[in-house]
Amino acid sequence: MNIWKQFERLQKPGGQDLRVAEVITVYDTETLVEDAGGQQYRALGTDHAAGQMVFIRDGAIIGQAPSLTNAGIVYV
Amino acid sequence: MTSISALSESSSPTLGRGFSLLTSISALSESSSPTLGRGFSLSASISALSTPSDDVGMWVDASPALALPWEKYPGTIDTAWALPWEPMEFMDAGNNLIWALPWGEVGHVDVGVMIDWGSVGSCDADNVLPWGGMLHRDADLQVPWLQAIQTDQDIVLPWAKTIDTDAGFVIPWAKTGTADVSTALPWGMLAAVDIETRLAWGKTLAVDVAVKCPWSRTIALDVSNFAGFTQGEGEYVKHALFKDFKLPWIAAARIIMYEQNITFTRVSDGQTVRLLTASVDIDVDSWCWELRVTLPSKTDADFVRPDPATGEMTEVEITINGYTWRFLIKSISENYAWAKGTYNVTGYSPTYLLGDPGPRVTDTWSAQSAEAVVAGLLSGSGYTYTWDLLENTWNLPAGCLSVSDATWIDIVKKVAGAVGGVVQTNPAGYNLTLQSRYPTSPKNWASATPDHTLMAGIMSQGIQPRQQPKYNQVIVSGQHYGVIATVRREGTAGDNPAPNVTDPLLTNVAVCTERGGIELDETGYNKADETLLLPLPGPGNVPALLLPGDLILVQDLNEAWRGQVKGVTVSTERAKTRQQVVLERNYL
Repeated sequence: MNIWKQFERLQKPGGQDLRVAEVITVYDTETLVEDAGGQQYRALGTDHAAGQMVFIRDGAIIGQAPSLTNAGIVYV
Repeated sequence: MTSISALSESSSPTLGRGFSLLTSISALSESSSPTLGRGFSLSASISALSTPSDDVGMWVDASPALALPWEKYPGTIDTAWALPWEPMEFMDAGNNLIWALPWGEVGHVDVGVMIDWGSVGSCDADNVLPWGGMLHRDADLQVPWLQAIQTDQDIVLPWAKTIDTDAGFVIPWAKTGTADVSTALPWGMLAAVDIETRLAWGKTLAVDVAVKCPWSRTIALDVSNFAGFTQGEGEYVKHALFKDFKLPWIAAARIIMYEQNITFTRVSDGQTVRLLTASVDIDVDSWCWELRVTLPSKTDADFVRPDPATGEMTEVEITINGYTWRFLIKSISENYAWAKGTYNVTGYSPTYLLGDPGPRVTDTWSAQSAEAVVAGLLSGSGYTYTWDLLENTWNLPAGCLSVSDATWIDIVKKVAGAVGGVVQTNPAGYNLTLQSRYPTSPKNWASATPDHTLMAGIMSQGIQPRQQPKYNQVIVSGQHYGVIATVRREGTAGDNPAPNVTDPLLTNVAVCTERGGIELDETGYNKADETLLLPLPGPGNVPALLLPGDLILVQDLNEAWRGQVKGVTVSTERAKTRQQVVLERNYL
């Protein structure tokens, strides 16, 4: 099997760790965000106001994300 | 009557039970009726021996008083069958004992001695021992181990050392003759078996189903999946299984025989290159095939040696039992150890040039379909593609796809990977196939039609379990365009979410659903990698060459299960060709 691919999966399980989430609350150094599934977690960065969509990579807000249409839950 | 003894029960001494020896009896007569042992008597109704007649060896008209207890022979004696001694001579013409016994006068015996008849007259030595004289021993036939040496009794093996003997006597049957090789192994070369005549023992009786497989390692086979047989064979086996023979193991015992046929040539001029070993392999995560060949000499290595100055690679073609691959030779190394003088050659499919050795691209694409991106990229390149991903639903807005310093294969893989797809090169080397990582979702494998069925010829099997987190939900979204979708495994609460997936090419719900489904298929079930070693008889025969993505139904000795090919390695060495297949098996 492709050993390099196996190594890549060990590094980043689940693939590319880039997330899109909505800002809920801005604290002193962190921001509480919520993803499309309703899960809330904190990310580093305080530059975005509540209600904005942001990109989060490795636990830090890296920029504003566009407001994509939420298609809801799709069952497979 | 001085020399006649007779038996009488009433006399002593005793000879065993009921026997006695009596002396000074005048003669044997009926009246004396001596008894021999318990209940055995001499009933002397005898026409005894009297005077010698002219008839050879016969006596007639003997006095009953002197007769022996057996009766007169009523027939005519054939002298040819007579006893070997000559007619008796008179011993004493004036004595009645002349007919008595041929060994002359016997002295008085001591009654106290059981059997002691005194001196015995000389007799004709020629008639005494009918087996004649002993032959002289041939010294050459003596015991072959010669004289043994006296041993020390304290030694466990008392015969101690033996003397070297003449080897000619050690093995009396000498050397064995040279065997006729042509008849030594009667089965010789196996001929192809006609399945219609495979069961030479004809119809067997119906057996108790409960005991028909007493050796346990056979299994009932699902004959509805006998895809590997031709129609005629399949019908025959079904008939054998269900109608007459009740032999469910017949298919498992199928014999696969094929002729080895390996060729290795340089494409530019068809130059044949000799090889010792070869292997080709690919897996689902690699976009091209890899070749490893061992060549026997420098001459052969020079035929395929790449030009280090120009970087030009030699294109070769290898055919293994009818399956053909094209490769570019990337490297050659010589083996000096143990004076082997062999050369290891490594090569890759021609699509290898779409990777690092090829050109790099920095570009942003206008609005178009994802497939159009690939088509435009490969147009005029000499390479083709096969699109087995989403059709007609996957459009990319302008600026959605943008790369910098990327190889062509990076772009192709980026497109395919956005929806969980993989890229594979066909064996011929110039066509890329973009296909789903799971063309059929594992949850639907049970009802799907397999691409191949393996029920015979599995030479070995191993398993490597891979435990998975069993995610049942994943959030999939575009980056600057598209939608966000929560893809959840049907029938679950989505309470075990996978890390989010964000990709700029996920531009609509269908694409997000496809990508999310692949993510859950990949991490949502416990898995195992089953490694099977199979023969490779050639196109048209079972098992065929299995390629990544193929769904396989395996009828092994224990159970029937389905798996998807993750990778395959075809290797050939001397008179054997094998394909080692890794199947991904899911435990839902």
